[in-house]
Amino acid sequence: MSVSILVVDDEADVAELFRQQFRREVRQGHYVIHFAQSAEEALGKLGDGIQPELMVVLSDINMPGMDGLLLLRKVKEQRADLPVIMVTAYGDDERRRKAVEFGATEFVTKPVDFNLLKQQLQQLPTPS
Amino acid sequence: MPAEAEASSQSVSKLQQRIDVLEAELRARTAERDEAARQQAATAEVLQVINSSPGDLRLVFEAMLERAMRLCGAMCGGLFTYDGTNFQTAVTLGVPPAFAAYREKYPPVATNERNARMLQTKRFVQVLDVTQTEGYRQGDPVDRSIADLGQARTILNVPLLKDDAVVGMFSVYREEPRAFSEKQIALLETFADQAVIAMENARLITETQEALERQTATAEVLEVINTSPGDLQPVFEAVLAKAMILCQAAFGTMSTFDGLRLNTVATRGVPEPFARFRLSGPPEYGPGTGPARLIAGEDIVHDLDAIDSEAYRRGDPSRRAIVDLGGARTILNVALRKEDALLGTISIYRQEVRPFSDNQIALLKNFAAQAVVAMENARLLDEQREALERQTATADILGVISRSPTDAVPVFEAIARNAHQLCNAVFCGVVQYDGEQLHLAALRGFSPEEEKELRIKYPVKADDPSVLSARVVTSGHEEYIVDILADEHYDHNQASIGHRRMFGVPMLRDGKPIGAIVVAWREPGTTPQAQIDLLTTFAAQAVIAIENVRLFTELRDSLARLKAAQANLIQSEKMASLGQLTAGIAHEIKNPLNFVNNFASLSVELLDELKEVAGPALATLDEDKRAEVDEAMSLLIGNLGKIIEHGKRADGIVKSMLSHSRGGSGDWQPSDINILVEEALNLAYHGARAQDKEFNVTLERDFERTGKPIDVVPQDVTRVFLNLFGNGFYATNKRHAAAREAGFRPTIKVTTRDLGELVEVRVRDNGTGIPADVRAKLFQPFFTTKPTGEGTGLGLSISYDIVTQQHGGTIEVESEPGSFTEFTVRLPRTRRVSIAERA
Repeated sequence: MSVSILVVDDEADVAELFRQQFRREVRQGHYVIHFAQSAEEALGKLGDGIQPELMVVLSDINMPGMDGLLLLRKVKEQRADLPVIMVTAYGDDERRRKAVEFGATEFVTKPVDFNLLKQQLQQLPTPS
Repeated sequence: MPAEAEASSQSVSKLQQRIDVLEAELRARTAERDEAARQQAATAEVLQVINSSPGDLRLVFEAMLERAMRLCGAMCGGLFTYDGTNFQTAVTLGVPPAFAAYREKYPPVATNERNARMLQTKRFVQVLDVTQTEGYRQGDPVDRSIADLGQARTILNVPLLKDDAVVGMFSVYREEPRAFSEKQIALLETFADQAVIAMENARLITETQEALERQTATAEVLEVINTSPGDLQPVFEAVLAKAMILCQAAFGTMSTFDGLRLNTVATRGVPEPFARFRLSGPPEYGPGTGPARLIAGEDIVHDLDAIDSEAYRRGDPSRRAIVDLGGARTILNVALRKEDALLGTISIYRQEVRPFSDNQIALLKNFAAQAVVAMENARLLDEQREALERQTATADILGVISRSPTDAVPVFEAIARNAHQLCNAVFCGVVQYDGEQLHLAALRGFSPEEEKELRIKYPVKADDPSVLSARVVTSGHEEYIVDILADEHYDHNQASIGHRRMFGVPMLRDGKPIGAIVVAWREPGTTPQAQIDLLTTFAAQAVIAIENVRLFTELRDSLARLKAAQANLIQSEKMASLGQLTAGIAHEIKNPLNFVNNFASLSVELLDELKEVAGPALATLDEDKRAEVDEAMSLLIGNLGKIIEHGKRADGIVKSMLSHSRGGSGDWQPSDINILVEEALNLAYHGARAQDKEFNVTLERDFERTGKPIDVVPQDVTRVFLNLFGNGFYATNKRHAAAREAGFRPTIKVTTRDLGELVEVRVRDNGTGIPADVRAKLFQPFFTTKPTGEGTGLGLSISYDIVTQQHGGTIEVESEPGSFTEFTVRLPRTRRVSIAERA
């Protein structure tokens, strides 16, 4: 049974990175990886509905236009139960605090430790 | 004879009789007319005499008397003036010499019956025969003298009347007893009137002349006052000379009064013996003498006869001298007063007994007043001049103060110079007081040798009463020595300088004495208030000068500190902006760097997969081809590995840049002390090299690698190490540059040790070293031994705070100047709550 992961990042190569890192899982059909290059695009995709069922949103914070924290809030407004993990280069206290305050499930700093991330994903509840 | 003939002869004789009578009448009238003409002529002549010599009464009286006697047929006569009490003989004519002499000595007296009657009735009195009078029989000397000495019998006295008052008497006498006719009496009365007119004229003329003389004298004195307003001597001499001339005095003296004694300022015509007496010493005036009475408060003392005085009889020396040696009899003393205060005296003397007239007394008072005006002028001018001198001195000193803000010594010297000059002092000294001792700041009035001798004595302890300035700073207020010879504490060895009186005034700051000004004079006594005020002003100015220097110095130091702080702030800002720049760059670089690393890792994985998948296929290839593939594969993997390795290295540098750019207190992190030290060392070294290409230093490392972490704020302890390394480089550089010692290798040795609960880091350089007195101030903020501009003096103090306050550790320094310096930092391994946090 596969679930979706939505990756939001203005950097296009991040999508390629995730594809390569999750190639096995994807090949095995565990995950389907969706990409949005902006928070707006991500919200659009959410609105349109993502198939299979979305398990988690992995979002960068520093993006042009709407930033990741605002996206986090908006997503939580729509889907309070949907886990959002912030993936960012800036690991400072302030952003971390805000992320937690707005309801982020995890706060991960770049460069991403994909092994750890995969473990964290496995901890997440499987959407029904 | 016929009847007509008789009738005509009777008529003729009647006619003749008539003619005789008429002729007789004619003769009589003619005689009368002649007489009248003669009288008129005589009157006219007298008037002419009056007109031609109006002031000369004697001439007039003589002319009058002569014509009167001639016209009245008198043998002799006299004219007498009457002053209300006594008669004075003015002129006698034709009298026998014996009677003339008698009359000179004994003028007629009012008591004589005849004279008394005339005085009372104010009308003429005639006596036909004086020898027949009661007075003569009684022996009245007047009557007797007229009759016996004057040979006169008939006496006619006519009063001279002015406004109904008797002012004199005309007397004419006949040898034989024959009465004067009415006409003759009337003539005499006319002459009497003329005499009165003449007397009036003469009086008026004399008065006018005297007034003119006085005016001229006053004007002349005023001119003397005006031409030399400050110079009193010409005024005194002019006043005395004029007074004596106009008051007809034989000699005179003038004195000023200083409150205690009279001091002679001018003399004129003083007889030699008296002058010598005066030179022998200042006069002492006993009670009753003129000067004594003036001092006591009187304005005028007029002694009619100095001999006939209680003072003389008593034997008062000055009275005796003036009389016996000076020959003075009538003396007039007038006081010179301003309001009620006695300023001086004028004394004029006559060597005969002759009182001074009211006019003369008034004149002398006038001169006295003028002399007072002159003295006041001189006093005011003096005051002005002194005030100007003081102002100039004060301005001079203020000028020195403003010109030398950093050094008070020129001010002290200016004060000493001005005080010495304006107070006419023997010497003047300015001393400073540091709370215990007195230091000599300036001296004036001594030769260079004397000054050197005096300077050796200083500093002087403040409890030494033999030194006046010590007394001043101890008591904190003015101190006087009226006479050093009478002062038991004063060092009498100093008396050889030649001073007697001293005065000292304190220099007070906030009420506390910080020094004193001391002045010495030749004469003992009291110091004038004006000088005390002047010296007090100078003392205040001295304090101002000292304060200026202190404030200026403080200002300068503050300014230096401010500049240093500013430089440090700018530096911090630079560092901050650099940090921001660095942070920005670092962040920007991090992103692509992440991709590099990530994709590199992924590529390695993918290669492995490829190897796996392609394995069997590769096995089918021939050896060469398989070897090529294997080689290419391993090269690829190797290359990717290198990419990852360098990527990680770049990442490390970026992380380092990010952590170092962050200012202020960061996060506590368990860290490896050796890594922190190493990073700092590299950064410092490369930084120093970047600044100075010539820079070279040997780095020795002795790290105890335990791998045990230590809780620190990495950025801050890194900063500490950077600071220590920087100092070490500076010191070794300095030693290297200073003395080109052969074989000297600048070396920094860094040691880390695990002391259980503590971690120790030692930084040792073989540079110039730190002397003991500098070592004490080493960690003080803003303290630096580097030249201005090279160091803010903040590095070690911040390091000190980071180590001790923030981390609860210790930092110590050991050094040997010219050899080495070693800093030892010990940090607790686990975080201790700092004092600030505990509070």
